[in-house]
Amino acid sequence: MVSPAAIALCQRRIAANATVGCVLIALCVLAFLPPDRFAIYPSCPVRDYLGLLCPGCGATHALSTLLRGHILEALHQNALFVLLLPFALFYAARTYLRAIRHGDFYWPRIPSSALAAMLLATAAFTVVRNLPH
Amino acid sequence: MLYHVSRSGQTYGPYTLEDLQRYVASGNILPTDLARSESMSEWLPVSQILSGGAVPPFAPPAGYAAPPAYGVPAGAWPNPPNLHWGLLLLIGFFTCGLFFVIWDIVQAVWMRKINPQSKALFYYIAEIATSFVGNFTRTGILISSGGLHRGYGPNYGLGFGLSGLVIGLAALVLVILARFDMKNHIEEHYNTAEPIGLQLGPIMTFFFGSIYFQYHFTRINEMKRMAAYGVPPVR
Repeated sequence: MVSPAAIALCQRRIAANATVGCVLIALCVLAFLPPDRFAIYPSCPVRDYLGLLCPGCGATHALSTLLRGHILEALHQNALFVLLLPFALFYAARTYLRAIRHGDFYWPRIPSSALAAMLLATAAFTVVRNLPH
Repeated sequence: MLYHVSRSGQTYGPYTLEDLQRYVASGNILPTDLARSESMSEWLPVSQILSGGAVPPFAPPAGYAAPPAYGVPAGAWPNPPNLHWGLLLLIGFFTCGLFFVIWDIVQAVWMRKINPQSKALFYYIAEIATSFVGNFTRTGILISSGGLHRGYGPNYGLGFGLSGLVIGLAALVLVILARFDMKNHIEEHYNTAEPIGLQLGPIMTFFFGSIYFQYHFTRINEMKRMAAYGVPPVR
């Protein structure tokens, strides 16, 4: 009999690798079907119903632009997303490594102060990008 | 009381009775496997132990009160998903809500492990399917109207507007059903199996759903972690 811990690890590895696979497929879709030319992506409900730019508005465009190597244009589309992306990638890599290793899985901890700073930056970014020009 | 499980000459464990129940429910341990505690002289089928045939009757001492919070053995129940609620909020924002949908599923899967009666997972999957159909319909209309490429200015028309409204309402109802199913089962679990006196507000549940649950899960995980180090929980 395989021990329950081994089964749990196996399930976790499958989930982690499936997630990586899905992300890679999504990146391929974004690269070959950019949102500025193909209207297949869902629109932001905040922008649709409230007419406001949420902090994530433009992130899909920015990612697609980044995949084509245009960093400045991506910064113009969603600066906060582009600036936070390296940290997000680092965090995702650490999470993946933990998921495929033995032992109990837990999400990597981020200091509360760093998290609070990111939330504040996101709130400020949202306010600034919605100010009338 | 802790039990060892034997199958094909190999021994596993020890497990608590709750562990045995969960592993049998998940199929990792078979009812026909043999199990034995230290106080038992012979191996018995797990099914017999779970039915109470081999468990010594529990005689509560005089003045027995409900167990204190987190008095349950460590590992008896899987901990709730432990992503910090603030991080969930951030990732959700930057993925245009997609991560919220994923996290709804993660929380619902955990809920099913805690209480297999929970229907939240079913509601969330139905909601995703409904939303997918809505988007698929929209994309189909775009293709048929030649508006898949941006700049063509497709005219959705009244029919699209009405069907979109109906599909949107159906998805909303399913989300609300899922959130309140989660709320009920979370409250039930944290007031019986792991009694910490958790109460969830209906308004916060309605509007914030998974973020609100995750706020409490973050707190519960932190309390459990502190309790594991022998620090009494802050009330």
